[in-house]
Amino acid sequence: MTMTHQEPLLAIEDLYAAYGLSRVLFGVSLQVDAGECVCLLGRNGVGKTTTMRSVMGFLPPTGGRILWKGTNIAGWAPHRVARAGIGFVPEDRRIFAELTVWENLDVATRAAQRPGEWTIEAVYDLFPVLRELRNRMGGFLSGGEQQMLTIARTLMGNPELLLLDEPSEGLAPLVVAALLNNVRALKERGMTILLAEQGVDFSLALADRVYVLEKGAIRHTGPAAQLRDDEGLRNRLLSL
Amino acid sequence: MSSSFLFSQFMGGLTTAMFLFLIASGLSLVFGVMRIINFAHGSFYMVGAYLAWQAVQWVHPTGGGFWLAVVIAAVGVGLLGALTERLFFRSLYGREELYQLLFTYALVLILGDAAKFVWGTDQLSVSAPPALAGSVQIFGTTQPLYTLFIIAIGPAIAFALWLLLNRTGAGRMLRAAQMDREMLDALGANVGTIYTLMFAVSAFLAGLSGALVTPIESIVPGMDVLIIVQAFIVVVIGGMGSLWGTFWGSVIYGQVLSFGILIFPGFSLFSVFALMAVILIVRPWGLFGRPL
Repeated sequence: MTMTHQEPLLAIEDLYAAYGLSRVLFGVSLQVDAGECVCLLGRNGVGKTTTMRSVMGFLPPTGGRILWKGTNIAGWAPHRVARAGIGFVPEDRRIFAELTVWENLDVATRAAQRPGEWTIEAVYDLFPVLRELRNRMGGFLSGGEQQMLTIARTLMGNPELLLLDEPSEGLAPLVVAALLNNVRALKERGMTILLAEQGVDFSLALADRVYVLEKGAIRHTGPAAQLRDDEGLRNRLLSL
Repeated sequence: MSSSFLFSQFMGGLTTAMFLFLIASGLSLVFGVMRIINFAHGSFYMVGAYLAWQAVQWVHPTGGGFWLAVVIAAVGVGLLGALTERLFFRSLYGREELYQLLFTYALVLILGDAAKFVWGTDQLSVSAPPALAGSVQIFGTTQPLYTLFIIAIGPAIAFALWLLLNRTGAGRMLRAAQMDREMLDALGANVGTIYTLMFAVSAFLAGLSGALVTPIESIVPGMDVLIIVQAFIVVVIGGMGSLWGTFWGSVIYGQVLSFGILIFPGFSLFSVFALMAVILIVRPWGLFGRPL
Protein backbone atom coordinates (compact mmCIF):
# COMPACT_ATOMS: atom_id res chain seq x y z
CA MET A 1 0.00 0.00 0.00
CA THR A 2 1.43 3.30 -1.01
CA MET A 3 -1.62 5.43 -0.32
CA THR A 4 -2.53 6.13 3.26
CA HIS A 5 -6.12 5.32 3.89
CA GLN A 6 -8.03 8.32 5.08
CA GLU A 7 -10.81 7.68 7.52
CA PRO A 8 -14.13 9.31 6.66
CA LEU A 9 -15.14 12.18 8.93
CA LEU A 10 -18.60 10.72 9.42
CA ALA A 11 -19.57 7.14 8.68
CA ILE A 12 -23.08 5.90 9.30
CA GLU A 13 -23.28 2.12 9.30
CA ASP A 14 -26.52 0.20 9.00
CA LEU A 15 -28.56 2.73 10.94
CA TYR A 16 -32.02 1.82 12.23
CA ALA A 17 -34.22 4.37 13.97
CA ALA A 18 -37.82 4.59 15.11
CA TYR A 19 -40.25 7.01 16.71
CA GLY A 20 -41.88 4.72 19.24
CA LEU A 21 -43.38 1.84 17.28
CA SER A 22 -43.17 3.56 13.93
CA ARG A 23 -39.90 2.61 12.32
CA VAL A 24 -38.31 5.18 10.03
CA LEU A 25 -34.80 4.08 9.07
CA PHE A 26 -33.96 0.61 7.80
CA GLY A 27 -30.21 0.13 7.59
CA VAL A 28 -28.98 3.47 6.25
CA SER A 29 -25.27 3.56 5.50
CA LEU A 30 -23.41 6.58 4.23
CA GLN A 31 -20.17 8.39 4.67
CA VAL A 32 -18.86 11.90 4.42
CA ASP A 33 -15.18 12.68 3.87
CA ALA A 34 -13.53 15.85 5.10
CA GLY A 35 -14.08 18.74 2.70
CA GLU A 36 -16.94 17.05 0.85
CA CYS A 37 -20.47 18.29 0.30
CA VAL A 38 -22.77 15.29 0.38
CA CYS A 39 -26.47 15.51 -0.29
CA LEU A 40 -29.25 13.32 1.08
CA LEU A 41 -31.99 13.56 -1.51
CA GLY A 42 -35.49 12.31 -1.16
CA ARG A 43 -39.10 13.26 -0.82
CA ASN A 44 -40.78 14.34 2.37
CA GLY A 45 -40.91 11.61 4.99
CA VAL A 46 -38.22 9.27 3.62
CA GLY A 47 -35.97 9.72 6.66
CA LYS A 48 -33.61 12.59 5.86
CA THR A 49 -34.42 14.58 8.98
CA THR A 50 -34.51 11.39 11.07
CA THR A 51 -31.00 10.49 9.90
CA MET A 52 -29.74 13.91 10.98
CA ARG A 53 -31.61 13.81 14.28
CA SER A 54 -30.09 10.39 14.98
CA VAL A 55 -26.60 11.72 14.34
CA MET A 56 -27.28 14.68 16.65
CA GLY A 57 -28.48 12.39 19.42
CA PHE A 58 -32.09 13.57 19.52
CA LEU A 59 -33.22 10.13 18.45
CA PRO A 60 -30.88 7.39 19.64
CA PRO A 61 -30.71 4.72 16.94
CA THR A 62 -32.24 1.32 17.53
CA GLY A 63 -29.43 -0.30 15.57
CA GLY A 64 -26.24 0.46 13.72
CA ARG A 65 -23.29 2.73 14.36
CA ILE A 66 -22.53 6.39 13.85
CA LEU A 67 -18.79 6.83 13.59
CA TRP A 68 -17.36 10.31 14.03
CA LYS A 69 -13.64 10.20 13.20
CA GLY A 70 -13.80 6.53 14.05
CA THR A 71 -15.57 6.87 17.41
CA ASN A 72 -19.08 5.50 17.75
CA ILE A 73 -21.20 8.42 18.90
CA ALA A 74 -24.58 6.70 18.58
CA GLY A 75 -26.65 7.58 21.64
CA TRP A 76 -24.51 10.53 22.77
CA ALA A 77 -26.40 13.52 24.15
CA PRO A 78 -26.83 16.33 21.60
CA HIS A 79 -24.54 18.77 23.42
CA ARG A 80 -21.77 16.17 23.43
CA VAL A 81 -22.19 15.60 19.70
CA ALA A 82 -22.10 19.36 19.11
CA ARG A 83 -18.98 19.76 21.22
CA ALA A 84 -17.32 16.96 19.25
CA GLY A 85 -17.64 19.21 16.20
CA ILE A 86 -20.94 18.45 14.47
CA GLY A 87 -23.10 21.50 13.82
CA PHE A 88 -26.82 21.09 13.17
CA VAL A 89 -28.99 23.54 11.23
CA PRO A 90 -32.58 22.31 11.68
CA GLU A 91 -35.12 22.71 8.92
CA ASP A 92 -37.54 24.68 11.07
CA ARG A 93 -34.65 27.09 11.89
CA ARG A 94 -35.56 27.47 15.53
CA ILE A 95 -33.84 30.73 16.21
CA PHE A 96 -34.38 32.14 19.69
CA ALA A 97 -37.22 34.49 18.76
CA GLU A 98 -36.97 36.76 21.79
CA LEU A 99 -33.23 37.20 21.64
CA THR A 100 -31.61 39.69 19.28
CA VAL A 101 -29.45 38.53 16.37
CA TRP A 102 -26.32 39.30 18.38
CA GLU A 103 -27.69 37.51 21.46
CA ASN A 104 -28.50 34.44 19.34
CA LEU A 105 -24.88 34.33 18.19
CA ASP A 106 -23.52 35.02 21.66
CA VAL A 107 -25.58 32.23 23.21
CA ALA A 108 -24.32 29.82 20.55
CA THR A 109 -20.71 30.80 21.30
CA ARG A 110 -21.24 30.16 24.99
CA ALA A 111 -23.10 26.92 24.35
CA ALA A 112 -20.46 25.31 22.16
CA GLN A 113 -17.29 26.58 23.89
CA ARG A 114 -15.34 25.83 20.72
CA PRO A 115 -13.36 28.90 19.74
CA GLY A 116 -11.95 28.99 16.23
CA GLU A 117 -12.04 30.90 12.97
CA TRP A 118 -15.79 31.59 13.23
CA THR A 119 -16.31 34.59 15.44
CA ILE A 120 -19.29 36.94 15.45
CA GLU A 121 -17.34 39.31 13.20
CA ALA A 122 -16.51 36.48 10.79
CA VAL A 123 -20.15 35.43 10.40
CA TYR A 124 -21.15 39.09 9.95
CA ASP A 125 -18.69 39.16 7.04
CA LEU A 126 -20.30 36.06 5.52
CA PHE A 127 -23.84 37.40 6.10
CA PRO A 128 -23.52 41.21 6.10
CA VAL A 129 -27.26 41.63 6.58
CA LEU A 130 -26.92 40.12 10.05
CA ARG A 131 -24.54 42.89 11.04
CA GLU A 132 -27.14 45.48 10.08
CA LEU A 133 -29.86 43.59 11.96
CA ARG A 134 -27.74 42.69 14.98
CA ASN A 135 -30.04 44.44 17.46
CA ARG A 136 -33.27 43.11 16.00
CA MET A 137 -35.23 40.37 17.74
CA GLY A 138 -34.90 37.02 15.99
CA GLY A 139 -38.68 36.76 15.75
CA PHE A 140 -38.83 39.90 13.61
CA LEU A 141 -36.56 38.59 10.86
CA SER A 142 -37.77 37.44 7.46
CA GLY A 143 -37.58 33.75 6.55
CA GLY A 144 -34.36 34.23 4.59
CA GLU A 145 -32.74 36.29 7.35
CA GLN A 146 -33.75 33.64 9.88
CA GLN A 147 -32.17 30.95 7.73
CA MET A 148 -28.94 32.94 7.58
CA LEU A 149 -29.01 33.48 11.32
CA THR A 150 -29.55 29.82 12.03
CA ILE A 151 -26.55 28.87 9.87
CA ALA A 152 -24.47 31.66 11.41
CA ARG A 153 -25.48 30.54 14.88
CA THR A 154 -24.35 26.98 14.22
CA LEU A 155 -21.04 28.29 12.81
CA MET A 156 -20.33 29.92 16.18
CA GLY A 157 -19.50 26.43 17.46
CA ASN A 158 -16.79 26.10 14.79
CA PRO A 159 -18.12 22.76 13.55
CA GLU A 160 -16.05 20.46 11.40
CA LEU A 161 -19.21 19.09 9.80
CA LEU A 162 -22.36 21.03 9.09
CA LEU A 163 -25.68 19.18 8.95
CA LEU A 164 -27.97 21.40 6.84
CA ASP A 165 -31.55 20.21 6.91
CA GLU A 166 -33.58 21.59 3.99
CA PRO A 167 -32.14 25.11 4.07
CA SER A 168 -34.10 26.22 1.00
CA GLU A 169 -37.49 25.13 2.28
CA GLY A 170 -40.17 27.81 2.16
CA LEU A 171 -37.88 30.53 0.80
CA ALA A 172 -38.46 32.69 -2.29
CA PRO A 173 -36.26 31.84 -5.33
CA LEU A 174 -34.18 35.02 -5.01
CA VAL A 175 -33.49 34.28 -1.36
CA VAL A 176 -32.58 30.69 -2.21
CA ALA A 177 -30.09 31.97 -4.78
CA ALA A 178 -28.44 34.21 -2.18
CA LEU A 179 -28.34 31.37 0.33
CA LEU A 180 -26.81 29.08 -2.27
CA ASN A 181 -23.96 31.56 -2.66
CA ASN A 182 -23.43 31.66 1.09
CA VAL A 183 -23.31 27.89 1.41
CA ARG A 184 -21.01 27.65 -1.61
CA ALA A 185 -18.70 30.16 0.05
CA LEU A 186 -18.67 27.96 3.14
CA LYS A 187 -17.82 24.94 1.04
CA GLU A 188 -15.00 26.81 -0.66
CA ARG A 189 -13.58 27.67 2.71
CA GLY A 190 -13.29 23.95 3.30
CA MET A 191 -16.41 23.24 5.37
CA THR A 192 -17.64 19.67 5.19
CA ILE A 193 -21.40 19.64 4.61
CA LEU A 194 -24.12 17.02 4.78
CA LEU A 195 -27.16 18.52 3.13
CA ALA A 196 -30.71 17.19 3.14
CA GLU A 197 -32.95 18.39 0.33
CA GLN A 198 -36.15 17.48 -1.48
CA GLY A 199 -35.42 19.46 -4.59
CA VAL A 200 -32.57 18.88 -7.01
CA ASP A 201 -31.86 22.53 -7.83
CA PHE A 202 -30.22 23.55 -4.60
CA SER A 203 -28.62 20.21 -3.84
CA LEU A 204 -27.14 19.41 -7.25
CA ALA A 205 -25.69 22.89 -7.51
CA LEU A 206 -23.62 22.23 -4.39
CA ALA A 207 -23.14 18.54 -3.81
CA ASP A 208 -20.17 16.40 -4.76
CA ARG A 209 -21.95 13.17 -4.04
CA VAL A 210 -25.56 12.20 -3.58
CA TYR A 211 -27.45 9.58 -1.62
CA VAL A 212 -31.06 9.11 -2.66
CA LEU A 213 -33.20 7.98 0.23
CA GLU A 214 -36.49 6.14 -0.17
CA LYS A 215 -38.67 4.69 2.57
CA GLY A 216 -35.87 4.82 5.09
CA ALA A 217 -33.19 3.14 3.00
CA ILE A 218 -30.54 4.25 0.51
CA ARG A 219 -31.85 3.65 -3.00
CA HIS A 220 -29.00 5.12 -5.02
CA THR A 221 -25.61 6.60 -4.46
CA GLY A 222 -23.20 8.26 -6.84
CA PRO A 223 -21.58 11.49 -7.92
CA ALA A 224 -23.86 14.51 -8.13
CA ALA A 225 -22.73 15.14 -11.70
CA GLN A 226 -24.28 11.85 -12.78
CA LEU A 227 -27.74 12.94 -11.56
CA ARG A 228 -27.23 16.40 -12.97
CA ASP A 229 -26.51 15.09 -16.46
CA ASP A 230 -28.80 12.07 -16.67
CA GLU A 231 -32.39 13.28 -16.73
CA GLY A 232 -33.76 9.76 -17.10
CA LEU A 233 -32.03 8.57 -13.93
CA ARG A 234 -33.15 11.69 -12.10
CA ASN A 235 -36.77 11.13 -13.07
CA ARG A 236 -36.66 7.46 -12.15
CA LEU A 237 -35.22 8.16 -8.72
CA LEU A 238 -37.00 11.31 -7.70
CA SER A 239 -40.35 11.59 -9.44
CA LEU A 240 -43.47 10.05 -8.03
CA MET B 1 -59.97 57.12 58.50
CA SER B 2 -56.87 59.15 59.16
CA SER B 3 -54.16 59.40 56.56
CA SER B 4 -51.59 58.00 58.96
CA PHE B 5 -53.78 54.95 59.44
CA LEU B 6 -54.02 54.49 55.67
CA PHE B 7 -50.27 54.94 55.37
CA SER B 8 -49.71 52.34 58.00
CA GLN B 9 -51.98 49.90 56.10
CA PHE B 10 -50.08 50.72 52.92
CA MET B 11 -46.72 49.96 54.55
CA GLY B 12 -48.08 46.72 55.98
CA GLY B 13 -49.27 45.72 52.51
CA LEU B 14 -45.90 46.56 51.04
CA THR B 15 -44.07 44.40 53.58
CA THR B 16 -46.33 41.44 52.82
CA ALA B 17 -45.80 42.14 49.13
CA MET B 18 -42.02 42.13 49.24
CA PHE B 19 -41.89 38.90 51.25
CA LEU B 20 -44.23 37.30 48.77
CA PHE B 21 -42.17 38.59 45.89
CA LEU B 22 -39.00 36.99 47.27
CA ILE B 23 -40.79 33.65 47.46
CA ALA B 24 -42.88 33.88 44.31
CA SER B 25 -39.98 35.07 42.13
CA GLY B 26 -38.25 31.70 42.49
CA LEU B 27 -41.48 29.84 41.81
CA SER B 28 -42.15 31.93 38.74
CA LEU B 29 -38.56 31.68 37.47
CA VAL B 30 -38.57 27.89 37.60
CA PHE B 31 -41.91 27.77 35.87
CA GLY B 32 -40.80 30.29 33.25
CA VAL B 33 -37.59 28.52 32.33
CA MET B 34 -38.31 24.88 33.09
CA ARG B 35 -42.13 24.69 32.94
CA ILE B 36 -42.16 22.99 36.32
CA ILE B 37 -44.87 23.84 38.82
CA ASN B 38 -43.06 23.33 42.08
CA PHE B 39 -45.47 22.93 44.98
CA ALA B 40 -42.51 22.20 47.23
CA HIS B 41 -41.24 25.76 46.83
CA GLY B 42 -43.04 26.72 50.04
CA SER B 43 -41.31 23.82 51.74
CA PHE B 44 -37.94 25.25 50.73
CA TYR B 45 -39.06 28.51 52.33
CA MET B 46 -39.97 26.64 55.53
CA VAL B 47 -36.66 24.78 55.58
CA GLY B 48 -34.95 28.17 55.15
CA ALA B 49 -36.71 29.48 58.24
CA TYR B 50 -35.81 26.44 60.34
CA LEU B 51 -32.22 26.45 59.08
CA ALA B 52 -31.88 30.12 60.01
CA TRP B 53 -33.12 29.36 63.52
CA GLN B 54 -30.75 26.39 63.75
CA ALA B 55 -27.82 28.46 62.51
CA VAL B 56 -28.51 31.14 65.11
CA GLN B 57 -28.39 28.40 67.80
CA TRP B 58 -25.05 27.21 66.49
CA VAL B 59 -23.45 30.55 65.85
CA HIS B 60 -24.71 32.63 68.71
CA PRO B 61 -27.15 30.88 71.05
CA THR B 62 -27.75 34.04 73.08
CA GLY B 63 -28.91 36.00 70.06
CA GLY B 64 -27.06 37.69 67.23
CA GLY B 65 -25.36 36.14 64.27
CA PHE B 66 -28.50 36.84 62.27
CA TRP B 67 -26.85 37.75 58.97
CA LEU B 68 -24.59 34.74 58.99
CA ALA B 69 -27.64 32.59 59.71
CA VAL B 70 -29.45 34.11 56.73
CA VAL B 71 -26.54 33.25 54.45
CA ILE B 72 -26.29 29.72 55.81
CA ALA B 73 -30.03 29.18 55.36
CA ALA B 74 -30.16 30.58 51.83
CA VAL B 75 -27.10 28.68 50.62
CA GLY B 76 -28.20 25.52 52.42
CA VAL B 77 -31.62 25.58 50.79
CA GLY B 78 -30.01 26.41 47.43
CA LEU B 79 -27.94 23.23 47.75
CA LEU B 80 -31.01 21.25 48.81
CA GLY B 81 -32.76 22.55 45.70
CA ALA B 82 -29.87 21.54 43.43
CA LEU B 83 -29.82 18.09 45.00
CA THR B 84 -33.58 17.55 44.59
CA GLU B 85 -33.36 18.66 40.97
CA ARG B 86 -30.53 16.25 40.23
CA LEU B 87 -32.12 13.31 42.01
CA PHE B 88 -35.82 13.71 41.24
CA PHE B 89 -37.00 16.58 39.07
CA ARG B 90 -34.74 15.54 36.22
CA SER B 91 -36.95 12.58 35.40
CA LEU B 92 -40.09 14.75 35.38
CA TYR B 93 -39.26 17.11 32.52
CA GLY B 94 -41.52 16.69 29.57
CA ARG B 95 -43.93 14.52 31.56
CA GLU B 96 -47.53 15.48 32.15
CA GLU B 97 -48.13 18.22 34.70
CA LEU B 98 -50.04 15.73 36.83
CA TYR B 99 -46.85 13.78 37.60
CA GLN B 100 -45.05 16.98 38.52
CA LEU B 101 -47.86 18.02 40.83
CA LEU B 102 -48.01 14.61 42.48
CA PHE B 103 -44.26 14.51 42.95
CA THR B 104 -43.90 18.03 44.29
CA TYR B 105 -46.87 17.45 46.58
CA ALA B 106 -45.17 14.32 47.91
CA LEU B 107 -42.11 16.46 48.54
CA VAL B 108 -44.27 18.90 50.52
CA LEU B 109 -45.42 16.07 52.79
CA ILE B 110 -41.94 14.59 53.17
CA LEU B 111 -40.22 17.89 53.96
CA GLY B 112 -43.06 18.91 56.29
CA ASP B 113 -42.72 15.72 58.30
CA ALA B 114 -38.94 15.87 58.23
CA ALA B 115 -39.07 19.39 59.68
CA LYS B 116 -41.41 18.21 62.47
CA PHE B 117 -39.08 15.31 63.16
CA VAL B 118 -35.98 17.47 63.40
CA TRP B 119 -37.32 20.69 64.94
CA GLY B 120 -40.50 19.56 66.68
CA THR B 121 -43.87 21.29 66.56
CA ASP B 122 -43.21 24.19 68.92
CA GLN B 123 -43.18 27.74 67.66
CA LEU B 124 -39.64 28.99 67.20
CA SER B 125 -38.50 32.54 66.72
CA VAL B 126 -35.42 34.53 65.88
CA SER B 127 -34.83 38.10 66.99
CA ALA B 128 -34.15 40.86 64.50
CA PRO B 129 -30.53 41.90 64.06
CA PRO B 130 -29.60 44.64 66.55
CA ALA B 131 -28.88 47.21 63.85
CA LEU B 132 -32.46 46.90 62.57
CA ALA B 133 -34.21 46.36 65.92
CA GLY B 134 -35.35 49.97 66.26
CA SER B 135 -38.09 51.91 64.56
CA VAL B 136 -38.66 55.31 63.01
CA GLN B 137 -41.60 57.71 62.88
CA ILE B 138 -43.00 58.32 59.39
CA PHE B 139 -46.24 60.32 58.85
CA GLY B 140 -47.12 59.86 62.47
CA THR B 141 -46.75 56.10 62.27
CA THR B 142 -44.17 53.87 63.85
CA GLN B 143 -42.32 51.80 61.27
CA PRO B 144 -39.89 49.13 62.45
CA LEU B 145 -36.54 49.43 60.68
CA TYR B 146 -36.71 45.77 59.82
CA THR B 147 -39.88 46.17 57.71
CA LEU B 148 -38.29 49.12 55.90
CA PHE B 149 -35.35 46.86 55.15
CA ILE B 150 -37.68 44.21 53.72
CA ILE B 151 -39.47 46.82 51.61
CA ALA B 152 -36.11 47.89 50.21
CA ILE B 153 -34.78 44.40 49.55
CA GLY B 154 -37.73 43.37 47.34
CA PRO B 155 -37.03 45.84 44.52
CA ALA B 156 -33.30 45.24 44.98
CA ILE B 157 -33.72 41.51 44.36
CA ALA B 158 -36.09 42.20 41.46
CA PHE B 159 -33.54 44.49 39.86
CA ALA B 160 -30.71 42.02 40.47
CA LEU B 161 -32.72 39.23 38.85
CA TRP B 162 -33.58 41.47 35.92
CA LEU B 163 -29.89 42.29 35.46
CA LEU B 164 -28.97 38.62 35.70
CA LEU B 165 -31.52 37.60 33.06
CA ASN B 166 -31.07 40.47 30.64
CA ARG B 167 -27.55 41.75 30.98
CA THR B 168 -25.38 38.69 31.53
CA GLY B 169 -24.29 35.78 29.38
CA ALA B 170 -25.73 33.33 31.89
CA GLY B 171 -29.06 35.14 31.68
CA ARG B 172 -29.07 34.91 27.90
CA MET B 173 -28.45 31.17 28.19
CA LEU B 174 -31.38 30.87 30.60
CA ARG B 175 -33.68 32.78 28.30
CA ALA B 176 -32.56 30.65 25.36
CA ALA B 177 -33.26 27.50 27.42
CA GLN B 178 -36.71 28.87 28.13
CA MET B 179 -37.40 29.46 24.42
CA ASP B 180 -36.00 26.24 22.96
CA ARG B 181 -34.27 23.76 25.19
CA GLU B 182 -33.58 21.21 22.46
CA MET B 183 -31.96 23.76 20.14
CA LEU B 184 -29.71 25.05 22.89
CA ASP B 185 -28.68 21.45 23.55
CA ALA B 186 -27.88 20.96 19.85
CA LEU B 187 -25.67 24.05 19.99
CA GLY B 188 -23.54 22.37 22.65
CA ALA B 189 -24.95 23.60 25.96
CA ASN B 190 -25.47 21.12 28.75
CA VAL B 191 -29.02 22.19 29.50
CA GLY B 192 -29.19 19.78 32.44
CA THR B 193 -26.53 21.81 34.27
CA ILE B 194 -28.33 25.06 33.43
CA TYR B 195 -31.53 23.63 34.90
CA THR B 196 -29.77 22.54 38.08
CA LEU B 197 -28.32 26.02 38.55
CA MET B 198 -31.68 27.61 37.81
CA PHE B 199 -33.33 25.41 40.38
CA ALA B 200 -30.63 26.20 42.91
CA VAL B 201 -31.18 29.95 42.42
CA SER B 202 -34.91 29.46 42.88
CA ALA B 203 -34.43 27.45 46.07
CA PHE B 204 -31.85 30.00 47.28
CA LEU B 205 -34.47 32.74 46.99
CA ALA B 206 -36.99 30.59 48.88
CA GLY B 207 -34.44 29.90 51.62
CA LEU B 208 -33.50 33.56 51.78
CA SER B 209 -37.09 34.66 52.25
CA GLY B 210 -37.69 31.92 54.81
CA ALA B 211 -34.70 33.15 56.80
CA LEU B 212 -35.64 36.82 56.49
CA VAL B 213 -39.19 36.21 57.68
CA THR B 214 -38.07 34.75 61.03
CA PRO B 215 -37.85 38.06 62.95
CA ILE B 216 -41.43 38.90 61.93
CA GLU B 217 -43.27 35.60 61.97
CA SER B 218 -42.79 32.60 64.17
CA ILE B 219 -41.56 29.35 62.66
CA VAL B 220 -44.26 26.70 62.84
CA PRO B 221 -45.23 23.54 60.98
CA GLY B 222 -47.69 24.42 58.23
CA MET B 223 -45.99 27.67 57.25
CA ASP B 224 -44.96 25.91 54.02
CA VAL B 225 -48.50 25.25 52.83
CA LEU B 226 -49.75 28.64 53.94
CA ILE B 227 -47.11 30.46 51.93
CA ILE B 228 -47.29 28.34 48.77
CA VAL B 229 -50.98 29.13 48.34
CA GLN B 230 -50.25 32.85 48.59
CA ALA B 231 -47.27 32.60 46.25
CA PHE B 232 -49.42 30.83 43.68
CA ILE B 233 -52.06 33.56 43.89
CA VAL B 234 -49.31 36.11 43.27
CA VAL B 235 -48.01 34.39 40.15
CA VAL B 236 -51.54 33.80 38.86
CA ILE B 237 -52.26 37.52 39.23
CA GLY B 238 -48.95 38.64 37.76
CA GLY B 239 -48.48 35.96 35.14
CA MET B 240 -46.48 32.74 35.47
CA GLY B 241 -42.91 33.10 34.33
CA SER B 242 -42.87 36.90 34.21
CA LEU B 243 -40.44 38.59 36.62
CA TRP B 244 -42.13 42.00 36.65
CA GLY B 245 -45.51 40.30 36.62
CA THR B 246 -44.52 38.55 39.83
CA PHE B 247 -43.28 41.82 41.29
CA TRP B 248 -46.45 43.80 40.54
CA GLY B 249 -48.58 40.78 41.35
CA SER B 250 -47.02 40.81 44.83
CA VAL B 251 -47.58 44.53 45.25
CA ILE B 252 -51.23 44.19 44.22
CA TYR B 253 -51.70 41.17 46.49
CA GLY B 254 -50.20 43.01 49.47
CA GLN B 255 -52.35 46.11 49.01
CA VAL B 256 -55.56 44.23 48.27
CA LEU B 257 -55.01 42.12 51.38
CA SER B 258 -54.15 45.13 53.50
CA PHE B 259 -57.09 47.28 52.45
CA GLY B 260 -59.47 44.39 51.81
CA ILE B 261 -59.44 43.63 55.52
CA LEU B 262 -60.89 47.09 56.13
CA ILE B 263 -63.80 46.40 53.79
CA PHE B 264 -64.43 42.76 54.68
CA PRO B 265 -63.11 42.33 58.21
CA GLY B 266 -63.12 38.70 59.22
CA PHE B 267 -62.60 37.47 55.66
CA SER B 268 -58.99 38.49 55.34
CA LEU B 269 -58.21 36.40 52.27
CA PHE B 270 -61.57 37.02 50.58
CA SER B 271 -60.44 40.02 48.52
CA VAL B 272 -57.32 38.36 47.12
CA PHE B 273 -59.19 35.20 46.18
CA ALA B 274 -61.87 37.32 44.54
CA LEU B 275 -59.20 39.24 42.64
CA MET B 276 -57.57 36.00 41.52
CA ALA B 277 -60.91 34.61 40.35
CA VAL B 278 -61.62 37.74 38.31
CA ILE B 279 -58.17 37.62 36.71
CA LEU B 280 -58.51 33.92 35.92
CA ILE B 281 -61.78 34.67 34.11
CA VAL B 282 -60.72 37.84 32.30
CA ARG B 283 -57.04 37.20 31.66
CA PRO B 284 -56.11 33.63 32.57
CA TRP B 285 -52.44 34.15 31.76
CA GLY B 286 -52.12 36.94 34.34
CA LEU B 287 -51.55 40.68 34.09
CA PHE B 288 -48.02 40.49 32.69
CA GLY B 289 -47.92 36.94 31.39
CA ARG B 290 -48.53 35.68 27.91
CA PRO B 291 -51.07 33.12 26.72
CA LEU B 292 -49.49 29.67 26.84
